[in-house]
Amino acid sequence: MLSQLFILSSKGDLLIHRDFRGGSPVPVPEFFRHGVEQPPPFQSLGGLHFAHVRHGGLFFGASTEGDASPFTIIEFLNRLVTLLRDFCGPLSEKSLGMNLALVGELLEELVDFGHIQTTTPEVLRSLVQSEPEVPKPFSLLDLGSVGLFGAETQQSRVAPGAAAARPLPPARGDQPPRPELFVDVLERLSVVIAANGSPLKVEVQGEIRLKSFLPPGTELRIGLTEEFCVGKSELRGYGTPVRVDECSFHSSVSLAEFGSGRVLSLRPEPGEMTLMQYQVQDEIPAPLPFRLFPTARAQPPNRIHLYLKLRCDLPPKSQAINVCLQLPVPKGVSSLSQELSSPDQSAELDLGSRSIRWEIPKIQGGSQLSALFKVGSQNPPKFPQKSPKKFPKSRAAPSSRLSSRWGPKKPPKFPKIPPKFPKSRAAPSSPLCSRYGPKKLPKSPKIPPKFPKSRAAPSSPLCSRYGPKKLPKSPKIPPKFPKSRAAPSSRPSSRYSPKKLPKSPKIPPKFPKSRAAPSSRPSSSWICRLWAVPGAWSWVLPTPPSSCQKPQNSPKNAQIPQKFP
Amino acid sequence: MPYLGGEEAQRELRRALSNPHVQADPARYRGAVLRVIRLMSQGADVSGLFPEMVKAGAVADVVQKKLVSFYVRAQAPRQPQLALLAVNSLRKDCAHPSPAVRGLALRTMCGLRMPGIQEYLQQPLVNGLRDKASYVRRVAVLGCAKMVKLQGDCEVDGALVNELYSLLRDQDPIVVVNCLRALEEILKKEGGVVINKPIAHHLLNRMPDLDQWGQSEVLTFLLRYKPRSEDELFDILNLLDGYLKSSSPSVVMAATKLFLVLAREYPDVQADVLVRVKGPLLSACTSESRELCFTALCHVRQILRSLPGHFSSHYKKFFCSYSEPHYIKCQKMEVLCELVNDENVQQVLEELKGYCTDVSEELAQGAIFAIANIARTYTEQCVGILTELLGLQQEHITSAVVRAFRDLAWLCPQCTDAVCQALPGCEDTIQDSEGKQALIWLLGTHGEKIPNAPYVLEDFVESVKSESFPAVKMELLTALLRLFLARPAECQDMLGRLLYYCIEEEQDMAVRDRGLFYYRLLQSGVEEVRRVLCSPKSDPSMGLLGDQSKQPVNAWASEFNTLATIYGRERWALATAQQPVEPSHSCPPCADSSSRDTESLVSEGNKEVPEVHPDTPMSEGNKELLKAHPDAGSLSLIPDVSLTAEQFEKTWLSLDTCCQLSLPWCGPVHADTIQTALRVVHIQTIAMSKAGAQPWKAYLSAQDDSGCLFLTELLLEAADSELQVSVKQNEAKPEALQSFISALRTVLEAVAGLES
Repeated sequence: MLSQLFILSSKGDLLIHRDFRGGSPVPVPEFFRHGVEQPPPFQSLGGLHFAHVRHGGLFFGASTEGDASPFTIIEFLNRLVTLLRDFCGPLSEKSLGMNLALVGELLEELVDFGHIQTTTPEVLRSLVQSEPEVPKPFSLLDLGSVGLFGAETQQSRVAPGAAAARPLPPARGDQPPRPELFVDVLERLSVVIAANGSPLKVEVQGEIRLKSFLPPGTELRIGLTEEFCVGKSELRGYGTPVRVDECSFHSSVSLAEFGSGRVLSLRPEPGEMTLMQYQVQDEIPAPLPFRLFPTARAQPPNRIHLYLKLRCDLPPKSQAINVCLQLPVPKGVSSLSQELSSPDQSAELDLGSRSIRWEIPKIQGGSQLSALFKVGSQNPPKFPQKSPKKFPKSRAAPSSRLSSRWGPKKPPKFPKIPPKFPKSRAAPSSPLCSRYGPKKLPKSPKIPPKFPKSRAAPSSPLCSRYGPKKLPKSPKIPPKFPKSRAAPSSRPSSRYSPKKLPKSPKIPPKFPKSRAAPSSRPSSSWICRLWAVPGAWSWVLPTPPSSCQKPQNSPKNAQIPQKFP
Repeated sequence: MPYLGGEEAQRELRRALSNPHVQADPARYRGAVLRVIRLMSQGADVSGLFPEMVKAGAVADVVQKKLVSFYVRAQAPRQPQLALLAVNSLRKDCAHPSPAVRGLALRTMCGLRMPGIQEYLQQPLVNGLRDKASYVRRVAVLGCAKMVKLQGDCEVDGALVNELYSLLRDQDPIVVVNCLRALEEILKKEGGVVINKPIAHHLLNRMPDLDQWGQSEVLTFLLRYKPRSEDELFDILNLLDGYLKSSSPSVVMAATKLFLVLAREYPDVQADVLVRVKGPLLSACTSESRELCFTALCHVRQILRSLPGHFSSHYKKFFCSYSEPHYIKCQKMEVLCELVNDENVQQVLEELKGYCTDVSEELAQGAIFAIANIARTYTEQCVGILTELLGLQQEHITSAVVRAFRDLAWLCPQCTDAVCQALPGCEDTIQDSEGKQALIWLLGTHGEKIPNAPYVLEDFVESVKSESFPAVKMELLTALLRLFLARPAECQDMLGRLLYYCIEEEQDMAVRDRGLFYYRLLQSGVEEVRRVLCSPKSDPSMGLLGDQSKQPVNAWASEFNTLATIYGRERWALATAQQPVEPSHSCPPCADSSSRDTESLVSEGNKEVPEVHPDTPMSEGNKELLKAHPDAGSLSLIPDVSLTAEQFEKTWLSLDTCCQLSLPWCGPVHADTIQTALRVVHIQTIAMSKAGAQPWKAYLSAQDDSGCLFLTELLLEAADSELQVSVKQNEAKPEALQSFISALRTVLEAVAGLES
């Protein structure tokens, strides 16, 4: 049971507030306003418990008197974010302000008296009647996106289309919406790289996200590459396998054709959904997208020169955009001067987090960028190399294994320098998704409006690759299906039983069975985890023959990225 | 705060709202209403527009109706007379052909929080409950709860309750769940909605129709149901098995909790369930939503407390990644500490070592304490790593390492030598009070093993005048006196100087008193000093810090999937104790809690470091606790219960055990102490074994003001260091039982602390 619901801006201004129960003495807690960078998700104040999630700089919070399940609250808040995004378009302070009536209507239907009512987008669409207003992407105040004399800037050229972010049209719209489908592949890489450049720990978490503007009930078939395999043991096909360790699918995905043809079929509801999630650990088949070569030299009395070389190992035809590199610096650093290899890059010293942020709008696959940062401080920073006189010699050389992890030359204050991979949707930052399609952003293979309703005629481009012919031998792993919902007695072997008795008598339902019309639609459950299911994926985009090649090393001094003609 | 141009804006809006031209154009009319709402949400006072807004609600446009409804509900408490204006048009809307309008009107009426509205509500609500549209019934059912809440203390209408119970058989799943919620609130005083067998079975059959929120809610309600027979229990488990694999984490967790609670007496089923929930929990731990990840990590820790090896093979999932926020990293480090075993200890330590040099000091220190935690089991490796860290000569790292060393030397005496070898050289790097105290304590207590200990302490004595922390001075006094006993020749002179300074020049009262005390103690002879100061240096049997005993699953099953797991038990008790509405059922907060109740609970919990103050006897805090809270919690036990031994025996044999727990216990039992302590909280001792008997047993009884009896057996096996407590209750009142147990636990732990 929720007592209040609120949405706060990043500065702590209250954008939207609902008090469901009345008379809650505590307004929105102050702790969001004091610019706390990472407030813990659950906090307690005056007998109320506040939970929040953070999305795009906004806080979505709820308070409860303490009897609620934490999982439910967090899941509901996440759901709320998705719904708001579906209904209002991209979320920001501005768009929420413009859609005040819509958000109000939505919250009204979502929660009554603190109890969650329904979150199914279809139901909500029939109940909510305001029209969404999308903030215009162009405004005179926002000059950053406009170049001189209207010329395209780097940013506007590489920014992904905003089409996918637009809100769902209302159910009773005048004209039917354009039936479109957007597919995103998002991958999060966490990599720890040793000083010698070999990756110590690699983890990729990826997901395929679908945003559908198709009329409800359209059947969709998505073919993945046939070389896709799950787990280490399974081997398929003759080409290089595309291997993931674990993958799971949305509960509405039918896996009937997976074992054989790697085809996912589903009927997407309008709105956003996560079709599939997968994880890869330790061994990834492609080189890491970036490699950083740092050199640090101390310049007495109080300066350090950091020379960074960033190599992009994507295929030469692809490019990475909006790359941001964060480099922690020792405390006490107060000034930064920089030499960057091209003018569109920028770097600044963020004193709050004690790090340098180096932002690169675009980097071509196979090219190399370099930067020289000179950081200085008022007080000479302490370096372990400079052994204080007082200490016995043995202490002076910090030859511990700790520092050897990052190379002996560096001061120990420089921990892992993780190349921060861009999180933006458009950036093909992962080696996995960079396999497919030169230059094409993974975003939005547009699908023509016509959709065949029957499975028999696979005229849609999505499934056209997969004809009836199948690979002769493909070790089939029967997908585990969720057990049927039938009464327990109908199952021959029950999972839980007293050890002695094999029989389990039926529970006699005392009430008359008044299930008039079971809704044909499955309940709006979110992501289904099926560990053992073999899954596979490939895109509609044709796989270029050259894409699997290693990126050619660019000439030695190619520090300036290739320019477009 | 007067809104900028508030008056002006309000006048203009009134003009617009009452302008017939605007009223004729739906778009402009709605625009004007929207502006009012916008002003209201910015905090401006728009109550003056009430009549115009009520009028604006009488149009056909549903969106506008909704906006007006929002306005009316927000403003009604301020304008009760005018709000009655709205009631008329709302009652008219309740008979509107469109269900959406009917529902909206009903919801608005129920949402008017003003006295006297009930009489207008009765009829529309009854109509609403029988409406043919499920949307209206959903609203009406919750409307009943709102009405009862408005009424306050009045008698609950029996007919209404019956109507709601019969609506549990409604076709619409949301109506069913809403009925449960409404009944729960209406019958709150009587213990909430009753789940009997027919209702439970009906709900079980309806489960597949519900959406995820309904499912997790119904699973929570089903916790109340106690199956009559074993067969029924297992049928229910089998029926609900699928929900353990639901795609929604909240359903999975609710189902897990139900399984754990229902299968209370079947540890193998519980273990099986925990194995099955591993997958969903792990995937929540790696979820993209950080908040979900945090919640899952808290639950992982809870499970690890009972099954330490449960996640050991997945230790890599709990490695931190660079961009994660602090609260997740801290949780992950704690998880890593708990799942460490022989196979993964190398990798885990390797990883934790990496965090020790994190840019964030808080995190780096957290990692160091995590290593220190592991050092209790894998001492050698960890001490090696910690010693390496000293080489970095970073202030915060050295301080944390020395504090970790102090705790280690106390807990694992075998590593004292290694610690002593690592210490020289630290004194120049440490600046903070905690670190200095730890270093001084180590130098004082183990000074005979550190060659230059007196000289380091001498530096501290030299600079004592500029020392800003009184605690450091106190520590210095004690340490120097200790070292004086071990190495008198080197210390005598500076001890004299220090004592002189403390007695003659020191401003801080506590330090001065401590100085005087030691001075007088020295006057009574060295033997006496030795007797007072050199009591046993470490006593692992105290089990206060090394309290890593496995909790049984049943001890936390009822807390699973609640906020108590997120905060941790102590902090949860603290948080609920502040709650003004509901009296606390858990044990009262400690004496020092008042100062930190506004701080964030979770982050503090993460930072928490085991603190050892060898100079303060451990039992002092407990003594205070015992004195400060004689009646432990809100449960009020009757002082004099007349229960004879025969009656007790009869009742004892006829009841089933409600709760079993075991408390750490060491040493012999002092029957008198226990008896006296229990009498303080009004728990009577019926019978007790003789001191020294093996096994030792005691039977206790207590009764609360509602007549509920609590019968308790304490059992101490000979070789066992655990006191087994089993409690029986003659009425099933889980809340009362909970507070009784927490009271009992407080007393017994306090006594255990006293005796050891």
